[in-house]
Amino acid sequence: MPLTRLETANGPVWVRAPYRPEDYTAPQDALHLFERWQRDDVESSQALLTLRDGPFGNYVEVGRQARDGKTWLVLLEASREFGVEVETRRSGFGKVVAIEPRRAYELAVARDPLRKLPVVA
Amino acid sequence: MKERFTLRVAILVALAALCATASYAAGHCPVSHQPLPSAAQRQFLPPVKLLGCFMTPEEINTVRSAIGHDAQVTATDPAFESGELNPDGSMRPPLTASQFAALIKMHSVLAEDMRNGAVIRKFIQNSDIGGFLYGRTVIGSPSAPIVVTTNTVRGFVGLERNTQGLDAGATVGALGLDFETTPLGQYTDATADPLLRQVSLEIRTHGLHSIRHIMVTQGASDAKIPLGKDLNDTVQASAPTLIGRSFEMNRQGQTNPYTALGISHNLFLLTLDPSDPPTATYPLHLNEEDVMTVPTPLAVGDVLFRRKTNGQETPIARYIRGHNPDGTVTNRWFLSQSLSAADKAYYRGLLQQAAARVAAAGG
Repeated sequence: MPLTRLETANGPVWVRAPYRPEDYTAPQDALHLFERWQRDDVESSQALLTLRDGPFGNYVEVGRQARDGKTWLVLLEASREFGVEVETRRSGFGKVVAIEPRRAYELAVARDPLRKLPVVA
Repeated sequence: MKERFTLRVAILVALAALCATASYAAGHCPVSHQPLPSAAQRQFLPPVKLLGCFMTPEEINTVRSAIGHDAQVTATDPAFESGELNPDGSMRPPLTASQFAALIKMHSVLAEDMRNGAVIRKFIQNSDIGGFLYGRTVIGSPSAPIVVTTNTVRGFVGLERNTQGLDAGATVGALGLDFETTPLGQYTDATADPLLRQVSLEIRTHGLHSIRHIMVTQGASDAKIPLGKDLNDTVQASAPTLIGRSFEMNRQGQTNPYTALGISHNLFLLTLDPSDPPTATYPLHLNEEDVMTVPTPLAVGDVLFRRKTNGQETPIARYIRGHNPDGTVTNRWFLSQSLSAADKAYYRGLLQQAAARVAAAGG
């Protein structure tokens, strides 16, 4: 859910609306985009996320997990604040799954102290 | 205050988008009153001429004035804070309502020409030519090299019309090709203090190379205009003809040449013409830049061109279907038969270097 900017007497702040699952649900087209990069003729997963001319620049890595002998990146879309987990590969992405909305919300809130403007409810 | 501003932007943008699309019914350009160019003619009209059909000179100047403004004031993540700064550390001013409207109008005009059959150019660094010609290259870190095929077009692309008729130097300036500040770069060379950029020795020696590719429907659909959050949100809210044609891509890094406006940055690249004043720079040519959100395959008939600083353009290689010794058939690059002996030697050398790199990486 995008934060909205509010001008106050003490300067601008970001406003976080009350939690609603639909605001933090990963859209199908976002998952599909990662799936279309499940290929072996491109950079590693990590490198794809940092391409200056790629489509993943708005995803922020907020965690990393090891499961079943594989490494998964936990990504948060920086503006819409939905989350996805992608399996890392030496070339391209592996599996991609949506993060449950409540967890995406918590990951987004965890970044609030890092933002340049205060976040208010 | 903020709401009034947003409403004003929305109204201006809606009016601008309406003007850009409704004019087709009239058969004549709404501003220049010339006959509307056909879809085929539009592919080869320099953007500023096409824009003149739909936009007033004041509106076009407003687009130009947007360079250096912040299109991501509403981006909230700390990852993008550095993108709101100029190279000198000062804050970039937010876009004005009229800049929003002019940019959306410009993109509404230009965006529809990225379609099946569109002619695009992908400019590539000379250091990548060998890998393209060989069909494979090595990417990744030296400790973990990956051999990959080079049979796709990806990254930033643009319609051929964006740089049609320009020489190599003017093309680098028009596209803001890579913001290099090292003494010797692939596209530009630079002095440190004062920072002055000029066309690279590499291009002056070997020319500027690009792949001419004809878009298919899927590729055209995957080519999207990268916009900062403010501008992309405005598209979603007020410019229905652009929905699906853009995506949010915010700027990171204060020296990043990416504008987040869907147009190229002005590099202030010194001209090569000795008759120009010493500080003369190439003009900014308005264009629309796209990013391939998914790589699109090269197509039979694609051509690798070399553009020189005198404007001469030469076909170097063509991507065609070829028979292999084992009887199989694959698409690959074939050098032009009309190349000079020196050119053939140069490009074969690049190809052999690429082959050696691939072999060394175990490919």
